[in-house]
Amino acid sequence: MKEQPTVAPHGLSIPDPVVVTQISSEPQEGQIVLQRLSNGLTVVLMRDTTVPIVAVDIWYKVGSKDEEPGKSGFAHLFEHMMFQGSENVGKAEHMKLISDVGGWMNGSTNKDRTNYFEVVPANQLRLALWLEADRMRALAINAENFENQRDTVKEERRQRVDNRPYGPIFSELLDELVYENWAYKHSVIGSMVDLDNATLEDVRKFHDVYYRPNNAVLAIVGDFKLQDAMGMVEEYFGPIPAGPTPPAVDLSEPPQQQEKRMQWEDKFAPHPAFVCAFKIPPRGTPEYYPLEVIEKVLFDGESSRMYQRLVEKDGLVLHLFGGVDARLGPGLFLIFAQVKPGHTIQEVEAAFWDELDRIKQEPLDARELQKVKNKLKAEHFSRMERAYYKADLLCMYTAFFEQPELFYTELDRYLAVTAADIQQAAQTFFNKNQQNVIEVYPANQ
Amino acid sequence: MKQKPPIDDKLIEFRFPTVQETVLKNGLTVMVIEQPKIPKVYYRVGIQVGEKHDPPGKEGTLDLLSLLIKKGTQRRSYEEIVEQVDFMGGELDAVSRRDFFYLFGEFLQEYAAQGLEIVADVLMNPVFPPEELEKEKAKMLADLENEKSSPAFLANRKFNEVLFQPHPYARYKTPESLQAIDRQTIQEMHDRYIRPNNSYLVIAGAVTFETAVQLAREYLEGWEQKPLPTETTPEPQPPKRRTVFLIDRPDSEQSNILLGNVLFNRKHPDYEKAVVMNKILGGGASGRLFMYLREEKGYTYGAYSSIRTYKDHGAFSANAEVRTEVTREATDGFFEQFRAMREAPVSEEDLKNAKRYLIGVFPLQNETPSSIASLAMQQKLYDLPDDYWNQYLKAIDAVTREDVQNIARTYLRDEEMAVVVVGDAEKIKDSLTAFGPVKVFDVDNNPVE
Repeated sequence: MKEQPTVAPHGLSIPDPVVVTQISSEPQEGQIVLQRLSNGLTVVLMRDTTVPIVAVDIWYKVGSKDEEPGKSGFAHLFEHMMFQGSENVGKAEHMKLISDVGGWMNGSTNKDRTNYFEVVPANQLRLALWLEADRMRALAINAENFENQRDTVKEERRQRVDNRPYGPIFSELLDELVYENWAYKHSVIGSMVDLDNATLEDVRKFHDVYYRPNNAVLAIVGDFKLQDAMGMVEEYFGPIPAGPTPPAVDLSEPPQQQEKRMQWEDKFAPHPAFVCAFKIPPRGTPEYYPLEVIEKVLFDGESSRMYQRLVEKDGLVLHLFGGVDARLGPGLFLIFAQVKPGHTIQEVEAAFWDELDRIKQEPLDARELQKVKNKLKAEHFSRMERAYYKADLLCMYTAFFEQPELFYTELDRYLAVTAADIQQAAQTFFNKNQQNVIEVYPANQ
Repeated sequence: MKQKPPIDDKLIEFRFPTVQETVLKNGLTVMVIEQPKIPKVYYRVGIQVGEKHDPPGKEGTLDLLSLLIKKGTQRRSYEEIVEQVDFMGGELDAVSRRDFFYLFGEFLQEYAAQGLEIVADVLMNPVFPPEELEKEKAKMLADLENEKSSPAFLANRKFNEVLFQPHPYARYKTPESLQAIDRQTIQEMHDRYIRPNNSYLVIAGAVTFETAVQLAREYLEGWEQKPLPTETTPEPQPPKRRTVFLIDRPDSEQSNILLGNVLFNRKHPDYEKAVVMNKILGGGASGRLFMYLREEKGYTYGAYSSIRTYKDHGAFSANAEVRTEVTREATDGFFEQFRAMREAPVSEEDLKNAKRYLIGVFPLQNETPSSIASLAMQQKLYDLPDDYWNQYLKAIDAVTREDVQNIARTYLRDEEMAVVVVGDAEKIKDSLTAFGPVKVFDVDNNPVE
C-alpha cells in the first residue's frame, strides 16, 4: 500500500511516515530512509527525482572542539590532507574527476564537524561514493603531502586571518574573549606555532580515531534507486573497519558574571567597528529557538530593526550584520557594525542597546511576529530547493541529534515561538554583564 | 594495481517540465510551470527591452530604471514595498541586460496573490523618485570610476566597442551619458517598452495553471498595451583586418589579453556545436588554452575562451592575464591553438570528455524552480524552438569530430580578430605590431598618439 504525503499547516508536504528504517520497496519522494551498516556508518537517503542529479555529503563528527591544547588547527589541516590522494586516487585527482563529469565538490571544517560533499549528475553516484570511500579507507598519508599542506594552511591563515581587514575578529579574537573552555576558545584555523608542531604521526592517529565509519554520517539526496544506492554504499563502505569510540568532549561553560571588553588595533581596517557577542544555549534546546527569531527581527532584510535604526534612521553604520552563531555547545548571538566616518563606536553601542532594550521591554506586535516567521519559513523552504542543502541538513540533524526527522519538524519549533518567549529570551541573554565587546580601531589613526 | 574510477559513460536524460501557456487580452504571454514540492511561488517577467535600447548619449537609462523601479509607486512608498515583501517571506528585484529587462519576485505560496499584486504595481506604476535617481546616479558614477582600475572591465568595454559598432552593443555608460539622464528619460523608456505585448511572465512553483492564469488576469490584464516602436539596428562592422587595441596602463605588471571575432546570435543552428568546440579549446581548466598557456608555458594563471551569444549577434573570445614580458608569446600561443583546432580533428577522447561535462553540468545548473523558470524564459526571449531544452542535450551529444573542426574553420577567423590588450604600452607596444596595426588608448578610452 502506498502512503500519501500529508500537508502540514505551513504548506510543506510531509511524507508519512517521515522516517523509514525497514525498506521493502522504493520509498516515497521526500521520505527519509535511515540505515546503519554493521561497521557503524549511518546512512541517510532521500529521493527527489525532479532533476537528474545527486548529492553525496559526509559528515565526520570531529571539529576543532576535539583538538587537544597545543594542537589547534589540526582538524582543518587534516581536511586538506583528504584532497591529497588515497589508495586509488592520485593527488588532486578527486577534484578533477568530479569537475570533469560536470559536478562540484568541497569540504569544510568548523568547531563541531568536518564535511565533504559532491554534487554530480545522477549517473555518477557510483563515482562520488567510490571517491569518498577510498579516502575513508586508505588515505595517502606521507611526509611530502603533509609538509605541502601545512604550508598551504599557513598561507591560508595569512590571507584569511592575518592580512584581511577585521579578519582575526571572527576567526579568533571573539572566541578567545567569550569562552572559558578550550574547546571553543581556540580557533579552527589554529595558531602558527601549533601548526608547526603538528606531526605526521598526529595525522595517522587522527584518521584512525575520527575518520572511521562509526564516527560518520553519509547522506545521499537526489535521483537514485534505493537498492542501487545502498548496494554501492555496502560495496565501498561496508569493508571499512570500525574504529574506537572517539573521546567525548566537555563543551560546558560557566555562566558569565562580568562584562568583558577589549580594544583591537586592526592594521587593515579602513573604519572603526563595534563588535558585541552574548553566549547563548546550544542549538536545538528550547531556549535557542526564540533567539533565532530575534535574529530575524533585528538583522534580516531591509525592513529589520537594526538595519532601519543604525543604517537608515541614525546613519551611524556603513556595514552591518548579526545574529546567531549556532553550535553543538554554547553558541553566540553577535553584531558587527562598521562605523560611518563622523560617528563613533560609543554612538553605535548606545543605539544598539536602545534596540535591545526595546525588544526586552515591548512585545512584538502580531504583524512583525508574523513577518519574521514568514521569513524563517521562506528561508527553510529555500534550503529545500537544492539537493546539496538537503543532504547537509540531513547530515546535521542525524550527526548532532540523531533525529533526521527534524528536517521536517524543526520548523514547527520556530513557528511556535511567542512574543512572550522573545521578550523572555532577550531579558535572559542580553544583559550588560553578559556582553563581550571588541572595539576595533584602524591601527594608523 | 589501482582501481579505475567508476565513471558512467551514458547520456543523462533531462526531462524539461511541462510548460503551459496562455496569452492575455493585452498580449502578455503567461507560462506556468507547476512544481508543487516547495510551497513557494516564483514570478519572472522578461521584457524585450535591453540596454541596446538606451537613447543614444543616455547610456545607463535602463540600468537606472531597473534600480529605481522598486523605489516607490503611485500606491506605495519604498519603505512599504520593502516591508510588505519581507512580510510575505519574499524577494523582489529587477535587472537590465544587453537585450532584455527582468523583474523577479518570489513569495510564500499563501501570498501568491498579494505577491503578484506588488510585482504588477512595481511594473506598471513606478514613480522613479528624483532623490533616489540622484542617489543611484552617484553610486553608478563611483562604480564607473572604480571600474577604470579593472583591466578586465576595460578590455571587455573595448572589445564590444570595436567588434559591434555601429550596432548598439558597442555603446557603454560614461559620466556624461549618466548626467544626461533625468527622470523624464527613464519615464519615457518605461512608457515605451515596459508593455505587456513586449513581455513574458513565467509563474513557477506551488501553483496550478488555472490559479496562475486567474492571478495573472486579475493583476496584469489592466496593464495597457501599446504599439511598439519599430527599429532597425545597423549591422556590426568589425575591423576588416586584424587590429590590436592597446589600452595603456603604465606600470602594469600584467597584460590582460582579450581577442576574438563576431559570431552568430543565440538562435543559430551551429550554437551547440560551437559550445562543444569551445569546451575543448578553452572551456575551463582542462581546455587546450589552459593546458598550453598555463601548464606548459607558465605564462598565466589561467587562459580560457568563450562563446558569447546575444539576441542579435555574438562573439567568440579568448582571454588571459599574462606576465608583461611574455605578452607577445602568449598572444602567439592563442593563435597557435586556434590553428590547431582548424587543422586537425580533435580526438575521440577529448570529444567524449567535453560532451560528458556539458551534459552533466546542465541539470546541476538548473536544479531550482527559479532556474527552470529562467530556461523557459530564455526559450521565448531568444526565440528558440518550443521543445528546445529537451533537445539541447541531444544536440550536444550528436556533435561529431568533423563538426568541431568545421566550426573552428568557419568561426575562428584569426585575420579578422580584434586583439585587445590592457597593459603597459611602453613595454609591449612594439612587440604587438606583429599582430597588426596597433591603436593605443588611455583608460578613459581616448586615443593616444
